[in-house]
Amino acid sequence: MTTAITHDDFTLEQVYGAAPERIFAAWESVEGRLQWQRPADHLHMVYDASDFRVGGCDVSRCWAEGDDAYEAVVYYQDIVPDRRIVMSETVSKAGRRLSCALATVEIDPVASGTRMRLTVQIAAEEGSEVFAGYREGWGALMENLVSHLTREAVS
Amino acid sequence: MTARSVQHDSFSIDRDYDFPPARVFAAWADPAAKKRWFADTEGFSGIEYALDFKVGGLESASGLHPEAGRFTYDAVIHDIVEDKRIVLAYRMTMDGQPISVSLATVTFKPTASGTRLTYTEQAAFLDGLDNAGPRREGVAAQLEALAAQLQPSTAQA
Repeated sequence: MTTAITHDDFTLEQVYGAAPERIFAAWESVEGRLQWQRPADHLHMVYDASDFRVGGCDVSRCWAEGDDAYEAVVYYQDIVPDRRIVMSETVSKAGRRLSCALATVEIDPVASGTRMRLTVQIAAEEGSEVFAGYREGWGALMENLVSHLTREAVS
Repeated sequence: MTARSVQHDSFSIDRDYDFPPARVFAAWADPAAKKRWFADTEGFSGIEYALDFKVGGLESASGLHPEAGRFTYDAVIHDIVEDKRIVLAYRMTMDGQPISVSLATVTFKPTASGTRLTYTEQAAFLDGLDNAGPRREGVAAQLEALAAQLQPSTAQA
């Protein structure tokens, strides 16, 4: 990032027909995340490192065939089992840092299952596509989680 | 089950300094310099501080407050552009309880008289244990301490 930085945030919320423990597990497990956090079927996604604990760090890469990979470095900042995860993240492409963000996952039991609320606070260059990219990307992943939980339930 | 809550908030502070960006930036990059204006806060004892100033490097500060107990601050540096920008994420605890996680963006812009520093914090305040009001006051006091430290007479004292 080399030009002026601007800030934005958004919150997404969805109710899942699964217990809080299963929602938390979908975040905790690298295998789980590889299933529902891959943005699209044609994209490759790998984890080079993962350490799910406060102070721990994940490094993952996601790419389309023939294109440079997006690299995400995530630091876990707060973890309350089955209730909350707060993480900070830097996304880079071809060695260039594109954005920094703070993401909060709040997991609350409700009558029909679990309400998950995701709040993302972003710092990136003015006019950057990452603001829309984050919002659209996470909107799709919130839906992916529904199918992931369904697949888990039937398998 | 303990009640959990998160309050998201953000604030921004502009502070002008009569010194060029390289000089102001250095006070954030040098561990001994940053410790003085950032961590050596009045009213705290047993202050410990460490900084590894590089992308992915860690910063930590802690001190004991006579009434509120021990405060800890643990940061990781996400982005550095020499003399221009620092982005870091930090978490704080008070008496063993996590109270907040924040993303802080600090920019250093040259002005006619020196530098305009802009500090923007995007925060998640946890379980009602802190909020943006006192946080903003705390940061403003630190930026004031940095101004005092940059003055040559203070630096020699």
